Amino acid sequence: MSALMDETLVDDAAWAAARRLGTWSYATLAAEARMKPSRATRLTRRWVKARLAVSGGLGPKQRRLWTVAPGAEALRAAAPAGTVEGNLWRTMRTQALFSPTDLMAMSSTPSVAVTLPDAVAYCEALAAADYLAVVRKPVPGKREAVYRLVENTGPRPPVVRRVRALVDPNLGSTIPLAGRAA
Amino acid sequence: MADKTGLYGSVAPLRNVGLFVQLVGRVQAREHGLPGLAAFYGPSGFGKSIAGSYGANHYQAYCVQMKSVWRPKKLCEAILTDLGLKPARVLADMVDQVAEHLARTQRPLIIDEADHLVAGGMVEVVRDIYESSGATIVLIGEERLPQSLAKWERVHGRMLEWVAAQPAEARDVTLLAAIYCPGVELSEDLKDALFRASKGSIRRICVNLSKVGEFAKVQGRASLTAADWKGAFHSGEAPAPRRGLAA
Repeated sequence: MSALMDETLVDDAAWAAARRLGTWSYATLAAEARMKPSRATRLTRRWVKARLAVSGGLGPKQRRLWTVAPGAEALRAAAPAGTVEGNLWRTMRTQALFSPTDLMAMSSTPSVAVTLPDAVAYCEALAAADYLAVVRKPVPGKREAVYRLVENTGPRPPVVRRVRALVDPNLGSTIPLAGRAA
Repeated sequence: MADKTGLYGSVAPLRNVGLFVQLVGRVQAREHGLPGLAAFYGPSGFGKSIAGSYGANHYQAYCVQMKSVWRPKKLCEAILTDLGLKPARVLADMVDQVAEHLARTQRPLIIDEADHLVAGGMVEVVRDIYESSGATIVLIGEERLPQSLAKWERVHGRMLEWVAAQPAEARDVTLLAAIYCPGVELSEDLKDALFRASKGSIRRICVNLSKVGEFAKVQGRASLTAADWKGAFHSGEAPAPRRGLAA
């Protein structure tokens, strides 16, 4: 499976595999979707919780079976997964020029509520990282900024993260601690 | 205002956005054996791309915006980039990559500015992708898109629906005012003047409401009437020749 696939795409691919199978066990889903059994188990449990899958009884070797729940397709189509950053980023990639208000208006859906502060903060973070060019500067309290996306790096949204790091004021150095033992 | 739906501050209630979302939903939920291509068309400024952006977010769809200089290879590369896949070297392999991924994920593909498909001879590429994947593919284009696609019988016959974008209506001004002029009460005569000046264009309504909102903030007003408004609305008309300089 491509390393570029995010969790949502993995979920979509596994769901498509489950639909092909009709009835599945954790092992058969893992084989069909070409993923680890532990991941197939986790996804199936998530679908059961979301009422997308229901128990199909016991199969060979007393393995638990699962089937697509009635109405699952409509439920899934009506409320697909999404994130605030994902929707904002997708909107940026489809619009030539935009203000935070434009982004909020086009990114807020029944399943993902995007507020104006969300849009402003995301624009400011991307502008600080030179992903956005400021076309019109904001005037605080009077008018908002207008931006243009200049670094369209791909479909997965850049996210703002707080990084754990060691700061040495003697040297003026910052050493990220990600991946190191705490 | 209470926000129970999560749609306050969203373009979702606009007529064209609703038409587009319903169109994608119908194609996604089509019966087995029915075609999976659809088109949403209308003149510039009617809010088709706004509807496309919202629809892409609503359905977590893949979305590409065509350019006039694109040719088949570039189209496939752009779609693959949006799918998060590294494009293969050969065009035929790229089509297979796109089709396989769409078939796996069952997410819709939205192609904006689809008029360029016709001009660039890429209609058959889209048909290939559809035939190989069976996925939902929605084309967004200008008013003449259905006529342009009529030349390709094999594509034209696979269209489940053609939905025409509608001009903005007066209630759209009220809906968009809540987004672009929050906290400012606009009188009916001002909304009417803004609607007439915008000539049915959602884009111009947004621009003009932003202007009104900025004016209200600068003036410190919580409500505005047509008599209070001192600016000029953006109507999209070309400026008249300047006196004494016209040939």
